[in-house]
Amino acid sequence: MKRKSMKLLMSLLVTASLLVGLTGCGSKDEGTKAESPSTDTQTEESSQPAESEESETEGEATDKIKLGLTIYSTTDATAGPVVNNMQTACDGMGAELVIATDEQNPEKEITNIENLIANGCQAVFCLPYADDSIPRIAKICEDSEVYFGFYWYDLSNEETHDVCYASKYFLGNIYEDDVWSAYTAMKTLNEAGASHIGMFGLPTGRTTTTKRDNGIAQACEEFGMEILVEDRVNTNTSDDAASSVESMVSAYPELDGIVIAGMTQTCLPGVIQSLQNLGMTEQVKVSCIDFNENQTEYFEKNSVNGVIGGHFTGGAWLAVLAVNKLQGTPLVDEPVSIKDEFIVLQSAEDAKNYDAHLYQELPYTADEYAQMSKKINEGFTYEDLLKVVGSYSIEDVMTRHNVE
Amino acid sequence: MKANNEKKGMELFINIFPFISLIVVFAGFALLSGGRTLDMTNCRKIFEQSFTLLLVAGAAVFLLSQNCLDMSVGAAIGMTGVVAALVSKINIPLAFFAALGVGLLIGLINGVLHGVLGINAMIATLAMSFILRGLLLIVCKSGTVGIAVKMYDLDEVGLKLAVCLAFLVAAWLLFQFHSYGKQCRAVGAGETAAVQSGIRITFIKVISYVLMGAATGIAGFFTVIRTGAAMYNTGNMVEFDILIALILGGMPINGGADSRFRSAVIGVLILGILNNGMVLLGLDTYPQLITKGIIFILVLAMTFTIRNKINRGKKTA
Repeated sequence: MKRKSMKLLMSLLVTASLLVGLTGCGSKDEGTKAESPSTDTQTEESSQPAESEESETEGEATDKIKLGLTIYSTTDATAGPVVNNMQTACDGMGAELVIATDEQNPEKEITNIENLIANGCQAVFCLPYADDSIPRIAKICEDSEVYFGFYWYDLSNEETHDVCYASKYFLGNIYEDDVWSAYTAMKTLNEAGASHIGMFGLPTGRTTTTKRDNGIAQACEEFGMEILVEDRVNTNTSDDAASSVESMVSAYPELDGIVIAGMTQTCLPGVIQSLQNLGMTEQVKVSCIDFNENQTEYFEKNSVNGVIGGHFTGGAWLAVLAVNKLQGTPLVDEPVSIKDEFIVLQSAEDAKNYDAHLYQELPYTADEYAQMSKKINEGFTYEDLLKVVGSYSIEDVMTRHNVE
Repeated sequence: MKANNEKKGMELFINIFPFISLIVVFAGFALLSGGRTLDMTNCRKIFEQSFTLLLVAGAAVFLLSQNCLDMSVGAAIGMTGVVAALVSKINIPLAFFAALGVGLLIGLINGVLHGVLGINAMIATLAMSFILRGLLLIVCKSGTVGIAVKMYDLDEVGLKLAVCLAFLVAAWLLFQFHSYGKQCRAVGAGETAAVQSGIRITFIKVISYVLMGAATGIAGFFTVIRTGAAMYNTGNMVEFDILIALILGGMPINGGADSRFRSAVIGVLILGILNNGMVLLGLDTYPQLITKGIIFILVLAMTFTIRNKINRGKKTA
């Protein structure tokens, strides 16, 4: 008798769950539309920006524009500043930022995007894991009527470019000159006297990877340098990178330089530690793309010769585009591709200045971001935004923030 | 008499505990999120996010009921996904059969390693997982493999629901009513006794791994449809998600006669609702991981303690 009632209970629950699912398929779009209000509605209802504290406390909880960011981490020296800058931009313009992390692969990224949309985000931003994931991301956002954009991503692949630009929900992408960054990293090594290089690289399949590879190839040709060995696998932990360096050095005794063209956060400490243990810090020069927490110390110890990075404002620019769009005061009607600027560090002093004025203090304050909202500053235009983006440098920040 | 009643009470509790957990999680998040978890679109997302886990957890019931593990499930999903992506550029139906074929082959090898050669299941499948991840790195060239654009058309929730229902119902019937399912539980209850009862353990084990392989093949195919690309770490950690789901669903970790097929469905639903609900409540990733870990330990500790008491009672009797 007990067994029968157990089975009945089980059947009821399973049936109920499946029915909920089935009903869900039946109303494919209705729910999403209800969840994600149209642009016009938000224009009416979106809260006033953070400038006025009073308005913030009065009902922002329900009316705030909600933006979503999916990113692999919120704390490391590369992803952390992206999050901090975007958060400050949202605070300044009166929007709410929801962050989803723990990205490991395309399916996790897709899940994050779905969850952000389910959470009520009206625009979501990501760094696509692969060009091939972009049509899927675009479809999810279109089905849900949610705006989307990409940071750190160059849409030079024609197919994915067309997919995005065909969508009325695509805001744009913020990209960096990855050919230039890789070329500059290699040039730094060349200036330090290195020509036989070991390389740590990003996984293939991304436009970023292709561009950085092109930059490295360009430098090799121009400066007569040679990539002896490359590793795109042992990049996820410092231990793996350290072991990889040991293998590189023993297989190629002539190796005199290492370029880290991505995954610097995990690779660089392992590379430096390994070279130090092998007593080869002087012999093997190191340069990398992307900043890390200990770069000042590494420069002081001459463990690193050049670091190219600081491209952490892309998320904030996407937030500026999204908030203005969702407020009904778009800066631009078409999707845009904005080039973010890199910062090149070549000395401990550069690293200290960066740390003090662009990392500990952010390059733009909430008030500065607030001025990029047309609701607050009616005269702000897309051209003004491009000027701000184009002038990004340590000197620019120090001048704007009156640093001696 | 009193001891007997107490034992019956504990057995009843252990049986209904997964249902209570599901109801608590479902109702709790519905209340906390102001009903947002009940939104139809959200329910659809929970199903889509849980779809592949439902398939592989359903197949894993056969293995875990025999006290066997498959640590290569994630890597097998990655491999079948990559194969599906590569073959999809030639022919999409062929991509499905290629993924299924590769899954079956991986399952067969695992089955032979453990069932025929007698290598410990965890070690054998762990080794298989390393081999598959290595192959994935070679095939993917440390990057991603995209699918044919037309394959996106298959990303329909109706199709997934049909596949999922068909697979789960077939697996449930097999596990609950067919002699094969009963033999799986008998093997988990005690291999020696099973052998003496005339059960062909080798055959049972090989078939179970082959079934798991079939599930990974289907899961890999639908994973790449969902994401548009397969990567060398596609399917990463799925084997642990399966374990967590089955334990949350009330599966005894040592398998045996108490194994129930419903553990897979209930466990995956609990996990899906839990993951989704925490996101809807705006919980950051790190508190999410901590919360999941704590819930898992609590459920495990509680069910372990109660099961031990029940088993001690049985021995005493």
